[in-house]
Amino acid sequence: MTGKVWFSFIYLGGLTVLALLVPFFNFDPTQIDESLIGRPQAPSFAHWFGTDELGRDILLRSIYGSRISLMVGFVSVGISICIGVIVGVLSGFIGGRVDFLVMRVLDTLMALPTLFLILIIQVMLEPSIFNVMVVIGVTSWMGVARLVRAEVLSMKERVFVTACRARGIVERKILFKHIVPHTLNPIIVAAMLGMGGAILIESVLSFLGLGVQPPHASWGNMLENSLGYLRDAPWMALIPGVLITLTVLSLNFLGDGLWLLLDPKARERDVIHT
Amino acid sequence: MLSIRNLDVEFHSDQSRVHAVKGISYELSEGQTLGIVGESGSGKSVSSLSILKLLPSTARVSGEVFWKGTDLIKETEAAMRLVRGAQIGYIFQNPLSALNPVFTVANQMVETICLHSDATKEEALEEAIELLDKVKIENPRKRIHDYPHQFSLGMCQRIMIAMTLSMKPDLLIADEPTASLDVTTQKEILELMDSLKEEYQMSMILISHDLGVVAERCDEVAVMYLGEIVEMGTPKDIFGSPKEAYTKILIDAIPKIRF
Ligand SMILES: Nc1ncnc2c1ncn2[C@@H]1O[C@H](COP(=O)(O)OP(=O)(O)O)[C@@H](O)[C@H]1O
Ligand SMILES: [Mg+2]
Repeated sequence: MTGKVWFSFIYLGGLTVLALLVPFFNFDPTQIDESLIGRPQAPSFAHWFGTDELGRDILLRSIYGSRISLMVGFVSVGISICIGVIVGVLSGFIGGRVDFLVMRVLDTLMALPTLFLILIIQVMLEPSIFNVMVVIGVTSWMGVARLVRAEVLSMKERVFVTACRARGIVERKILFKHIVPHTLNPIIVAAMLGMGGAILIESVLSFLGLGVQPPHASWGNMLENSLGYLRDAPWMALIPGVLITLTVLSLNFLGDGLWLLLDPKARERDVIHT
Repeated sequence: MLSIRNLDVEFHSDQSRVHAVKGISYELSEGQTLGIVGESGSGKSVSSLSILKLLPSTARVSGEVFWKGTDLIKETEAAMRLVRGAQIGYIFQNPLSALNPVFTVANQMVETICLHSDATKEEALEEAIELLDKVKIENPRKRIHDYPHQFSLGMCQRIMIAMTLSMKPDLLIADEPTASLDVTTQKEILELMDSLKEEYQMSMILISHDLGVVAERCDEVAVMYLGEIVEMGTPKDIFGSPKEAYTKILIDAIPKIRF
């Protein structure tokens, strides 16, 4: 594993630990310091990442923001994986016309501009973090479905599947016991990449005021707040910006790293010997 | 017991058609061993897999496969499941790829035994260990919990044989069971199969591209070439007076040592 992957692993691990532990301390990320309203403070010992336009501590808000980002990542990827795995497994295993039809529907769905779709839905619905997660999940499962289907198709050709059949094992059991576990590796990789995408979309939505609503902190709405202070308090924009970039990049690096780690064995395909 | 008439298999795909088996017929009676020889690609595997209807959906199979009085070609999947393994066992050429790499040998053997009997998991495990001992896997009580890749190819084939025998089939189809093994292992596996065939009183279809392997242990030999059976007879006939030019080539291909 390369340094990039280790960095990503440690960074994401650290972020997750902070995000999980922060509510156990008695900090309030929405607490306003009246004396500092309109005068964001630069990073100092008292406030490591400085304060925002309402005198709130940016470090604390960043950590609370990471809770949102990670939760959105996990939940929406969870949803998209559930849908994607079910569709992919069934389509690949049933094959034939069903598979052809499902793939055309997927092509169509993938051609839709997801972000605009999400924007429209968010405008029509009441903006809430719950909606964000559901909408991202429901609009991003197609990649997972394709990946899982491809894996199921290649597994179906393997000799051990024919050997299972030759022993009289029931199709349902062959599918769920013998084929589905082999799709785990691509699913893990797709989950990493998907989380990065979901976090990015959440930031965009919150930035546009369609995601997490103030006073709750998310990296996206922190960026939005910083707009009026770009010249006087650049750290207000820089910190959430860097966090979003680092998190999304780390998830991608980790996904790629895992791909290489998990892949070589999966690629040793063997088709029936003739 | 098994009677195949005009078995014909064609693979259809968008681009091409492959006529893999061209109307072959043969009979196999109880306790007999039939050898099928022929070069790679001559249709040995395809014709044998179609007995159990194990070919992919691109295959068009026609003809009749009479097994104990019923035509398997007309049987439903549910009925085939009762034939597969329990009545007709199949051993594949590459034993490592015939085992699922993500489960232990114990897992796969117990699954197989439980499927074909009322045994509990514990009883099935005991039976599996006994079978591994019978096919001469050393220290089976411990080794059974290993994964397939932790065994040599020869040992994997012993495991496949044990697993197939656990279902007590009446007919064993061994599709080039030793082709991926080295010469000494090949000999051991063939001897093991000979003795187990006696013990379990099975009929057998032994497929090989090596006429030498087949000649010693078969009652009858079918020579396949380009999807057809070009010659069929007792090993004595085939060796003594081969009628087909192709059979002569196969006989010449058996390595002989001259001093
Ligand atoms: N799934 C398949 N699709 C298309 N053609 C196949 C398939 N399986 C086998 N064949 C073709 O059928 C022919 C016979 O193959 P096979 O029976 O496996 O030969 P062998 O005698 O070596 O076992 C070969 O020409 C092979 O290319
Ligand atoms: Mg073959």
